[in-house]
Amino acid sequence: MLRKLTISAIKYRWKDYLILFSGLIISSAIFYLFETLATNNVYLHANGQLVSIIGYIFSFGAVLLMLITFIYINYANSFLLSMRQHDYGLFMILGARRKKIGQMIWLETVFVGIVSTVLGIIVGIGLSALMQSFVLKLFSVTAKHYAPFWGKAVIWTLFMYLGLFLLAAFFNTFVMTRKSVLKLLHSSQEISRHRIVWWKQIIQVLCGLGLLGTGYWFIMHPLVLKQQTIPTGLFTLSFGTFFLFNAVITAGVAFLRKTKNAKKGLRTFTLGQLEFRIHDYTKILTGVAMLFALALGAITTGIGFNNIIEKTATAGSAYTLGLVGPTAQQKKLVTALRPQKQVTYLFKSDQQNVYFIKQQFEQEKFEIPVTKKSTFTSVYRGQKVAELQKDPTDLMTAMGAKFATRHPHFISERAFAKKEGSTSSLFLFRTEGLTSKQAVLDKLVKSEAAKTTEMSASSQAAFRGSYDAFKVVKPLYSGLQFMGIFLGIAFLAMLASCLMFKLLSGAFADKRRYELLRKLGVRPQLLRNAIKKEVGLLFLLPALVGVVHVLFGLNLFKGLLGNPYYGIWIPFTFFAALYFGYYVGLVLLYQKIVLSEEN
Amino acid sequence: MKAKTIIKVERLRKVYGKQTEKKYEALKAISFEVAQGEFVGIMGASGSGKTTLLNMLATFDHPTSGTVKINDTEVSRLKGNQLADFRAKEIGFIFQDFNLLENLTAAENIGLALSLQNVKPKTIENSVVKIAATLGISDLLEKYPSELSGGQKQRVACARALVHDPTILFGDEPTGALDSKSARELLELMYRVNEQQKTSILMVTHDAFSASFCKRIIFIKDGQVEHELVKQVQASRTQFYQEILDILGTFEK
Ligand SMILES: Nc1ncnc2c1ncn2[C@@H]1O[C@H](COP(=O)(O)OP(=O)(O)OP(=O)(O)O)[C@@H](O)[C@H]1O
Ligand SMILES: [Mg+2]
Repeated sequence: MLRKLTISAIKYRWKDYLILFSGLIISSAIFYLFETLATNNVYLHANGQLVSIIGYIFSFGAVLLMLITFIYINYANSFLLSMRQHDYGLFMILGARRKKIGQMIWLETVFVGIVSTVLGIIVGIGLSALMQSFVLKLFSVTAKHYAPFWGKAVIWTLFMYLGLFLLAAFFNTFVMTRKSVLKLLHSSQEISRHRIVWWKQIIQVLCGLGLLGTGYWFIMHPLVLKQQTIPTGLFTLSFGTFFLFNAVITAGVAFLRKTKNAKKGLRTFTLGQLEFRIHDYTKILTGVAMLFALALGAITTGIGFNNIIEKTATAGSAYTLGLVGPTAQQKKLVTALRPQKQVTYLFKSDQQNVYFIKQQFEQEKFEIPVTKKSTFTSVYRGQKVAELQKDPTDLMTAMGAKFATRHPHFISERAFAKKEGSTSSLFLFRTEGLTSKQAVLDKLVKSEAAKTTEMSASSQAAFRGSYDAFKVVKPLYSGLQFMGIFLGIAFLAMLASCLMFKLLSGAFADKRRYELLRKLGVRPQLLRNAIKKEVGLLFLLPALVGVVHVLFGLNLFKGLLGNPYYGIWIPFTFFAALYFGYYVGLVLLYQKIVLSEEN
Repeated sequence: MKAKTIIKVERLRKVYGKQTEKKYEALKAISFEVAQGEFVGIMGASGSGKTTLLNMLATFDHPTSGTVKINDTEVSRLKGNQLADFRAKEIGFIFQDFNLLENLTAAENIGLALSLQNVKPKTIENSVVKIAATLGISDLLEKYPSELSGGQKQRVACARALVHDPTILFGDEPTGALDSKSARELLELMYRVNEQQKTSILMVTHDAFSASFCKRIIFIKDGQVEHELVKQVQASRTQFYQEILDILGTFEK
């Protein structure tokens, strides 16, 4: 009988269950996704050679994700509880024994856990395969040793989720079998209103500010705590954010409600809604703020690695490529690259020597890069001939392996004319944005290699300009780049599912309220605006805090990226557009659920 | 002198069921009028179409055919903002339950309708305090619905429905969820409001006791008006109650 009732309850509330399951599946899928990176030692080792802190970042990222997962499951569980409380109250009235009910609750929670975890892992495997090809396509980055199906990740996800669900099951059984029948029956009408005690609020604000300040200070001075900086930062910022939200938002809403302005239009209602759920809100807002910071931070750093590849390359040479005796075909390709600078030097050569015309180097000075340490950007400086004579390495490597070992001589035009042998030319050019010009540059390299038949295998290692350096550096960083973008998207997805879950779990309860408002004669437009505001706050607050976290957090990558703030408007804009789009989508979805017209 | 007609229902029909489904005619061409200041009860057996009728009068549902005019406005023609504004200005409604928003205090619940019309906060406060005093709920204003008893909730709902001085107050079994004492209090309240403030009331009920507070009863059976009973001016409420019971008795035969 009870089983029948349960099944019919599930049928009746299938929409709620759909939300519950989809939220949990997404969350476990993302956890799996993260673990495919975090537990893949071979991959981490291969890509961690450059940066020893990667391992640390991952282990603490995992801890943080576990915390967020914990909040998430806790939240999902209270959603499940609130869905079932009324039914269980009814069962008890019908005469079901508490022990029997306890068993049912236990089984139901564990069942929900197993189904969503297994499905989540399957979705996770699909997602990570998709992600791999997506990052490959978009950033032409391949991650060696990365495998979408990773046994350790499966085990960890199972372990973590089933463990948490087991805990939740015991918790639910405990709670449900202790509550009185009446409480269970009227659970949906209960409100969580907490009286504000001012001194407690002030202490919380101080705690929050203190923690945030401490966290920011340690991030700005990473040498103080060294490797402990990241866990310390995550800890202090998470709790600081929570305290601040908790104190400021509750007090803010309570204060706003008292003002005259709050009595206008639907504001009373919106504020009432907020106060009604404030405790759920502060937890979820903290989670979202942290996820926002992590996602944005990861994407920014990921794209930062892309910058660093180019910067490292341009710090190596002032010219992108050197071409000896460029063909018309090659010149055409170079023009297509829209170079900032191009120069041609004539030369004659014999077995040991290369002869240049001194005057040409006085008119068009040969440039070398000067790299500023703080920003890791390079400017170019023309060299005097005397300097060049002292250290001609840059010039000679630009000529390619064939000439690299010969001795350069800078002679007068007259002396040059007297030298034997045919006149040849060295063509040098510089262009920016190597990543996007790879295809054309590769063509140039190929056609240049085809010219010298006697080229040996070792000659390929010689840098004929910054592009060769680019080719060497890129694979070193691409693993990190992959990691950054991958994690960024994973955190973003987690954030999206958190917000969606939070919103939709309230939507069905809100439906009744909005229905009543409509019957009272509230204009449809006003209702839609109220929803926009309510959802907007949920999006805006964590975004603001998250951006500040990221701006400080990026400082940690100074050692790795030189200037981590370089060009951050690109990932920020990209992120903002995505976030805003998601906001609009959720508002529409929410309006659709809550304001569905009567017949 | 004849009072002004405020509700005019003409050949109102409601058929449930979409094209593909089985059709069910819940209302069959009902016609009647309600004059200014009346207290009308609508009675009938369960399933006779009372709620259906009230939902259409209160603009919550659209008739299949026929017209409903409230204050000379044909309500089925209203849409969007016009409809919303009409509800906000002309209509007060007390449901059987879930009348109040749990996240607002009683005072905020009562004042909501006014704040929607951008009435000044000071004016709202005055109106709320005044109506609360009239209905004897002044000491409940700062409480949240979960802190109120069922009867108190319905009285707050009544205040909310009356605060904007509507043309007509509708009630769908407003006493349905109350015990007899609270029910009596609410009905006496409505009676007083009707007497003193001349607010027109139309209330659906299925019990004779509640109906005896009305001045006219319309009996509905199978979607049609079966009978009308008007309370004589000199008759007491107990006499009227007896009359209603007699009529209900003849229905059952
Ligand atoms: N949405 C609907 N779809 C189909 N049929 C409906 C719908 N609402 C009501 N009905 C039918 O219309 C008839 C009248 O219903 P209505 O709710 O008006 O009854 P009522 O007089 O209010 O009854 P009660 O005293 O039990 O509340 C009933 O037979 C009911 O089954
Ligand atoms: Mg009814």
